[in-house]
Formats: sequence, C-alpha cells, structure tokens
Amino acid sequence: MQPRGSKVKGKVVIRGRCIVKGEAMGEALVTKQPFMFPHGINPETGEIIDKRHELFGLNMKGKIFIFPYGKGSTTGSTWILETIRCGSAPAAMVNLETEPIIATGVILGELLYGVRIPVMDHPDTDIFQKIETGDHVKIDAYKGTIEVYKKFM
Amino acid sequence: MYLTKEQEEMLDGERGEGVRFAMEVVTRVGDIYGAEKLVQISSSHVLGHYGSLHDAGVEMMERFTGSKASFRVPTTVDPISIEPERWRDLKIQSSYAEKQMRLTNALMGLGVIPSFTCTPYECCNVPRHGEILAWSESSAVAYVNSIVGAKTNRLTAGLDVSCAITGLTPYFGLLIPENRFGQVLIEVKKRKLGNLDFHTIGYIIGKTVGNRIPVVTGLPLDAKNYQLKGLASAAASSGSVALFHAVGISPDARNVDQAFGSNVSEDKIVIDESDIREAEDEITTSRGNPDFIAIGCPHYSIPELIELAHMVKGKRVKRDVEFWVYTSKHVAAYIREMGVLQTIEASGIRVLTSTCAVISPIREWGFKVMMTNSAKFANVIPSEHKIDVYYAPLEDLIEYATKGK
Repeated sequence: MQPRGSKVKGKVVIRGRCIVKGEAMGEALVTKQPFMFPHGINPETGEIIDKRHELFGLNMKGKIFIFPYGKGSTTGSTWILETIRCGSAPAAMVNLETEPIIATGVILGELLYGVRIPVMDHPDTDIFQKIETGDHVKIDAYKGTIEVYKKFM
Repeated sequence: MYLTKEQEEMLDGERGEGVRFAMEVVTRVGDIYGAEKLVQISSSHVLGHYGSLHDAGVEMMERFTGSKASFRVPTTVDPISIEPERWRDLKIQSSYAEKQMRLTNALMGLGVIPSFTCTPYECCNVPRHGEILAWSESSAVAYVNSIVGAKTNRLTAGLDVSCAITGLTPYFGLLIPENRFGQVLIEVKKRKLGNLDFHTIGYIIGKTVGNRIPVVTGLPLDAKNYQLKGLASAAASSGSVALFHAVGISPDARNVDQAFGSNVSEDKIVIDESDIREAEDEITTSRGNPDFIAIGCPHYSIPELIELAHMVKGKRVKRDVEFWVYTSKHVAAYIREMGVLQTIEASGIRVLTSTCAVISPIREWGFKVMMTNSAKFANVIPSEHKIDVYYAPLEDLIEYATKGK
C-alpha cells in the first residue's frame, strides 16, 4: 500500500500486541507524555483541551493516536466511548501499555455503536523514535503490525 | 479463559441480555489481560456521573434497564453531577439535570446503594484486608488497595457495572499477590507533616513513579485516615497510582522488605521540604484573588468537618467569595445532628452533598480563580472548567475568605 502523497522516505514495520483487533490507517499523532482523556478532551470534537499537555489545541479525530499510557480518573472509558458516539475518536491507538480503562472504552464502542478502533501495545521497538506526528501509519491489529511511512522531508 | 458452566450460560444469554452484555465486557477485558479465570468479588463501587459518562454512558446504562440484570454484590456509587435536591440553586440547566436523573434511575434499577460519595470505604461499603473487589474511582481504588489492603484493579466506567452485575472480575493485575510488591522506594524526609503536605507528597509520587508501585517511608505512623485519603487521591490523579505501600501503615507493608517482597528497588526517590514547596508552586497556576473556594476532595469526613467548624466558628465569609465544602449525604446527616453543619453554614460556607466540583457544571458560575487545599481538585479542575488554581492550606483559605485583603 502506498499512502497519498507519493514521496515517502521508506517503510518501517513495528510489531506489537493486539488489544482490540481491527485495521486502520491515517496520520500519526504522537506524544511521549501520558495522556488524560477525562477532562482532557472535548468528546464532541476530538480536540485536546488539557492545557498542561503538549498536544493542547490539537485534534485526535481520525488520527493514529500514539501515547505511552493513560492517566487521570477512572472515567476514561466513557470519555473514549463518547468520542466514538460523536464520531470524533482516533482511528486507532498505540501505547506502550494499554490500561483496562482504554481497552474498556473501545470494547464498549464496538458493542454499543459497532465502531471498531484497533488498539495495540507492547511495540517491539521505540515507537517514539520511529514514528513522528504527521507520519502515515497503517495498523493491522489482527496480525499485530504497525507500518510507518515516514512523512516527506 | 476458563469459564464455569454457569459463566458460559451467562455469556450465552441464558440469564438475559443485560447479563450477557456485562459478561461480554468482563470476559473480553479478561482475555486481553491474560486472565486465566474470573473470580468472585465481595463488593463493587461504580461511576455514575453524567459529567464524565456523557450521553454514551446514559445509553450504556439504559441497556441494562428492563433486562432482568441487577447487581449481585453490594454496590455503591460515586458522587453525581448534580445535588439531587438543590441543583436549581446551583445554576444547573434542567436538560443536564435530566440526563443525570436518567443515569441515576438506571443505576437504582440495578439495585445500587445510593451513596453518591467517592469515599464509600468510610461508610456504606467498607472492605477488609485481602478481599477481592471491583471498584472504580481512582482515589478510592488507591485507598482500599493501599490502606485497607483489599485487592482491586483500577476499573473504569462500564467495566465496573459489568463486574457488579456478574459478581465476577477477571483475575489479573493487582488481584495477583506477586503483582502487588513494591517497585520503587520513596523516602519522605520532611517531619511534622501538615494536612496539605499529604496531598502534595501524593502529587509528587504520582508524577514521579509512572506505573510503578511505590513504597513510601517516613510517613508518621499516627497519620489520620483523611490524610492518607488525601495522599491516595493526589497520587491517583497526578499519575495512575492504584497501590502504594505506606511502610508501617499499610497492612502488607509492616517493613520495607515485606513491601518489596521478591522485588528489588530499582531506584530511590527522596521527597524533602524543598520538593514539597516546589510542587506547591507547580500546582498553583495563579495567586490572583480567588472568587471560589472549594474543599472536600475527596469528600470531607466527619473529623475534617468538625475541625472546619472549629476554625470558622464566629467568622463570616466575604460576600464576593463562594466557599463550598463537598461531602456525602450520610456524613451531612450526622453533622447536622451534632450541630456542626449549622456552625459551618452560619459562617456562610455552603455544604454540598452527593456531588463535587470536578464532575458538576460549575462553569456557569464564571469563576476565575479557585482556591483549594486538594491537589486532586487542583490537578483536574483547570482543563475542565478553564479556571486558575490557588493551592494552599485550609488555614489560608479561611483567612482569605473571612478577612479579605
């Protein structure tokens, strides 16, 4: 598969554990900081509203959202579920370690709204070195692969 | 995952659609985390506030209505987004209140104990050492794992009710004894800790340890339950701490060796007086004139309210500051009978029950600067309500509120 914009630097393939099965592709949104869904996002739009986070002001909708792990309140699942209900959820998520809070939100999204958002964790290489915001990423959370097409430089 | 015959039937829908849905959530989460089986729980504590569950949460909860599903274990519920009786006084829109009431009704239909508090372990739902639970509410999870020595994973909305409906939880994570040993040593070097210091130390721990389990030395053995509650709530909100070992206090941490078990401490973090001052400055985002003073996060306990009444007796809050204290309705009933509630209200402080500033729509008030003695309030409020935070001890809050500039 060649993503839109034909000039790519090259393809990197990362393997990981499948938390929620599915396939997705899109532009990467990457942060090394733990991410707080509760009170940190506007679920109607997907906008990140946590003033203390480096992604403040950006939008997660349709992105391949890559962050180390979640933080904050245990209501995280329904914040994710509401983004799914509103059509503002990321296309996929990749973590170092996916907490049950995130997994539950995505599972509920599938059971209630029939929306499948693949989630993977335990990548076999340093994802923060291999993937930058803006890279084109293809997730296959059946096979456990993350394909990265570096953005044109 | 191994399922018993009864559990298979639940998953196949033989006990109704609500039970099937709950079982599907429980088993799918269990499969992801490599749980070999489901285990029975003694109690559950679930989330039910519209402010965080949103419309999707209402739709999820109403899936269970009329499905024959009900909670199989004693189940309490966190604070909700409105004060049930006085929401109109608090500038809450009726459309919002109506959504909360739908959520509350769905929970009542499942047989919830209407505790509406984040500190159910003080009353209504008191676990004991070693019991297996399925609890949400990050501060309560950290408290019951760490101070009571009960065992629960840090559950989340939807998974919590699913466990309560099935009476089961996947056996993984913090339910497994070997996963509960300490991983990083924290040495508190400050002596004579005030109430605020416990919150600040919790805040530092949460920010520092990541997802490791901290073993904390240097906390006074006569620390009050509400001080440890403050530490737990701050550590759970600035990071994702679900369990810490307070050496000499936690039942599974009589000494450092017991707390670490077979683990070896990877490194040691020292928290001294200057770290605490630095963290206080970091939590505070403005020292401008506060127009809102909020305490009771987590919900204030009876001893804290008695202390508050002593401190404000005969004083009056200035007219241009709203001063609110949050607690549970059962605690409010006790302190009313004691005359403590009347003393607090006579000073101009509002005693709010069953709700909290984090999860209720206080934006309508247009507050600019909130003063609080809770690191969790401070940590969670800014992005949600777009107000600045002035973090200070209760003495300072009362001084500001009653004397003015």
